[in-house]
Amino acid sequence: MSLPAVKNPQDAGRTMSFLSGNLAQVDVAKIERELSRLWDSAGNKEESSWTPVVRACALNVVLLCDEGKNERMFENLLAEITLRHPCRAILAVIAAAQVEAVEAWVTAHCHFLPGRLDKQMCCEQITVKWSGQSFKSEGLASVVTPLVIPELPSWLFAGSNHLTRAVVEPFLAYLDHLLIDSRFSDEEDNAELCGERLKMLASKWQIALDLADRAVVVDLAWLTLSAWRKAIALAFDDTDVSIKPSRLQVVKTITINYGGDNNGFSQALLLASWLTSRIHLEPSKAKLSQKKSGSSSSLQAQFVQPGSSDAIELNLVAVENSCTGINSFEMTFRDGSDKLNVDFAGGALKVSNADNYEYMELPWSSARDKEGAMEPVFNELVDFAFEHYSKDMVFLAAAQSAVKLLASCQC
Amino acid sequence: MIEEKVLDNPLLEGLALDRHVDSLSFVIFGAHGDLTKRKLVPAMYALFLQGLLPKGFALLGTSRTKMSDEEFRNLMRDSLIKFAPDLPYEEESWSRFAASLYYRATDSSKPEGYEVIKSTLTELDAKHGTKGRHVFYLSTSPSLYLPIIKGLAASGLVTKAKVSEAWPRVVIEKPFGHDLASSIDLDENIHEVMREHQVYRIDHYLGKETVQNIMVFRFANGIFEPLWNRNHIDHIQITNAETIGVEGRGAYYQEAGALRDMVQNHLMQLLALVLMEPPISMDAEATRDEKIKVLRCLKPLTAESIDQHAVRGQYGEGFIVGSTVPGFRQEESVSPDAPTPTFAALKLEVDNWRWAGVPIYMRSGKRLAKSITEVAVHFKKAPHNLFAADQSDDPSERHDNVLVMQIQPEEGISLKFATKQPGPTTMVRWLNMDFKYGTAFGARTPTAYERLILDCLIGDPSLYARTDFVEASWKYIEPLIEHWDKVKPTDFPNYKAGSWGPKAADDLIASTGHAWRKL
Repeated sequence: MSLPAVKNPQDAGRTMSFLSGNLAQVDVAKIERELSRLWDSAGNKEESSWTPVVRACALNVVLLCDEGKNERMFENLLAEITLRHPCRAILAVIAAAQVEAVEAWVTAHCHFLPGRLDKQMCCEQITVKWSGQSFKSEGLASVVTPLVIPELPSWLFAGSNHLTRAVVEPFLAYLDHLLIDSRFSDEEDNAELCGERLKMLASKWQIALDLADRAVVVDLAWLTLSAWRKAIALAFDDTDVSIKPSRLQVVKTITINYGGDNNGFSQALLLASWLTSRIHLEPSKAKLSQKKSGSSSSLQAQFVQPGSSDAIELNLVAVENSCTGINSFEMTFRDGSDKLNVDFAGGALKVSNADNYEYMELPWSSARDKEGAMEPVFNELVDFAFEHYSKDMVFLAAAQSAVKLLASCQC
Repeated sequence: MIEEKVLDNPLLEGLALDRHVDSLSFVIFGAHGDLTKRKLVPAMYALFLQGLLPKGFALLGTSRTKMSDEEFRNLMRDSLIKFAPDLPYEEESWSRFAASLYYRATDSSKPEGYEVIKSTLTELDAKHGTKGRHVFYLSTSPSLYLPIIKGLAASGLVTKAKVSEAWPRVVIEKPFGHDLASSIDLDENIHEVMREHQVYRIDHYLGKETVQNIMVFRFANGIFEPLWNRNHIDHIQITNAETIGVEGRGAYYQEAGALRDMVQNHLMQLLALVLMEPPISMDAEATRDEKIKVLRCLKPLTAESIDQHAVRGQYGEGFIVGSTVPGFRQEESVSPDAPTPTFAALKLEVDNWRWAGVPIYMRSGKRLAKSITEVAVHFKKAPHNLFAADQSDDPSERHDNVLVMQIQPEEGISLKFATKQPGPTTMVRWLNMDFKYGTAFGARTPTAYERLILDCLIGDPSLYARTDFVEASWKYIEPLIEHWDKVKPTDFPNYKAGSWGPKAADDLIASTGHAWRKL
């Protein structure tokens, strides 16, 4: 007969705190052991202080961020995302400090199962904080990557200021998905686009291209475009707004109106680059103009199709005081017989060609509910990314086209 | 004139377009009924909340009951709150959904009723841009299927569509006929006015996540399929147990019985998914082609073999969860000498290369001890047992590796395996490795109706029963129905409510050296 395991009377209080979402500091070298102990205690069926819990984990999520604002945003994201994606969440926080140190905390995100109040599903969160003067990614990665549960999909999401090869690569030796957001952060949104901002935008997509053979790269900005891409693509298919695919050989102009300053610009550019890459257009010249009154930028570019001398005109037009993201899309053709318009209207996309039109529902509930918002919220996008993870060659081709267009862009 | 070169659309690459729903109107016959309130409208609302319904959408309910649009909307809202507590009800989103709900009181036995539906649909086409695309859902008594389909055809609402055309569509609920002859008759009549690809025979079991997962589990995991045959599998048990009785459906159930109510449709579908060969693709017809082959390989039941392969039962009075419940013959609208089987157990044999010699046991019954539906695959034992203490002569005490695909109440998969009990001696302990849908994915599991209705709106019939499957299933069951109709039971009721069925069912499985799982 085997002896029963010895119970520590302090375990219940500590476990209750853990399950309630409070951070418990743990020894960096003993994170797994401490988690194991807490889960053992949480599974104690004789304990009545908490609702029975199920520890669930279907993926690893590593969020790399700076201490402060970024950190809180990611913590909120985890609280939301664990509702739908049970995971081991690792928050890797970088903090500026005089003395170099690594600390760790653990906590749990628990949710009642849909329609049930007798059981909670819990996910664990490990926070690893690196403090110091000169951040070395290898150091933080050496603490974080052994915590990744093998054989499960693993995601790294690096905040925009850490999205560099030097920072990301040490993590990608153990993680197989990289989540990026080529949209600008709030602070970057109103800055002048010409110069550094444009380079930063190009570098985000260049990283996606460079690391595409190491990890599945998903760009949240790309995901915001899925409904627009679908609406445009289906206009050339057997639907009510049927334009023959051969008309893609005689495109004359592409106009994309966007709102939201730099943030909307990156989406408009990516949508345009998707189109130009799909129909093999090469940029011949591009000019970015900044409005004097504000930070809005418009881009005019010309493209050529191999084997044709006809120029195709691209206009990305900033619309003042409109909501962030793509507002409308227009495509004209050389003989003038068709004109494709896609507009955000009444929570859906209205796709029209002359008198023929069709509506397409937006997949984002946050966008559908409001006239003024056509974009999904951040959490919805991450949720979507986790559910649709696979290498997307169409995105990579679009990113390549975008990088090429930005390289030829004059300010 | 030079013909324009047909080009592929390069913009479609990389887009998930398979779940696109065109604008349409969805017409429910029997809109005042329970199914509409409990399942159909909640499923539609769930699809709406997920953004899966098109912008151009209208739902038209019809039945004899007089109601205004507003009364219908209110009734549906109240039902939603009552029957779909897992759906987030919000006044704002409900209002937007409800704006697409309409109701017309009609008599489906009279041509005028169809004229009302037709003119309403024309109005809705104009108002909601539904473009003449219609789905007709027959949530009515089966006896009304043909009159409604004929009425729809006579009014021009249903026409034979070319294979390349998808509209209109008609959804019918089981039972698809009462026996082989009536099933063939129903199909022939349906096919007079519409083609097979327009007919969606709904079997809600096929919409359940775990049922769909059987295919994923078998064909996406390399480790199970090599074992999925007579060399490694000892036997398979399919159980459908319900604690409920006939729940006010006494008259229907007295005519149907366990074979027609569960075995001929739900359990045969489960059987086919578990035993079928890998389809050549995920194309709807490829899967349905493989499923029908399984039924064609079932060794037919003959009058001589039936008693060795099938057992029937009927529940008497007993206890369910501490309360006394009446026997079947004491239920409302049931005859006091009804010979209806409320329990059936079958031993099936499959004559094909993969399954020859592997018994498949199936049991289905009402008022059993527990509500559970599962498929249990019992693997053969290790060729040499090193651990003597793990042996027992009693089949109910013996342990196998068992892979269980649980369909309800909790959808999940478990695998039973042996492990060493911690301690100073080598003691074998059998444990379950458990996977539960609800906890593994966190998200709300969509209801079967959500999935199936969405598939119908999209035009994907993969999870619907095809006419040849229905016919083959009736063909297999028919000799049993006839035999049991002819040879009246003398021992009914032969099991107590709250038990696991008649003793004869235990004897049936024991005759081949096995025992029912203790659930």
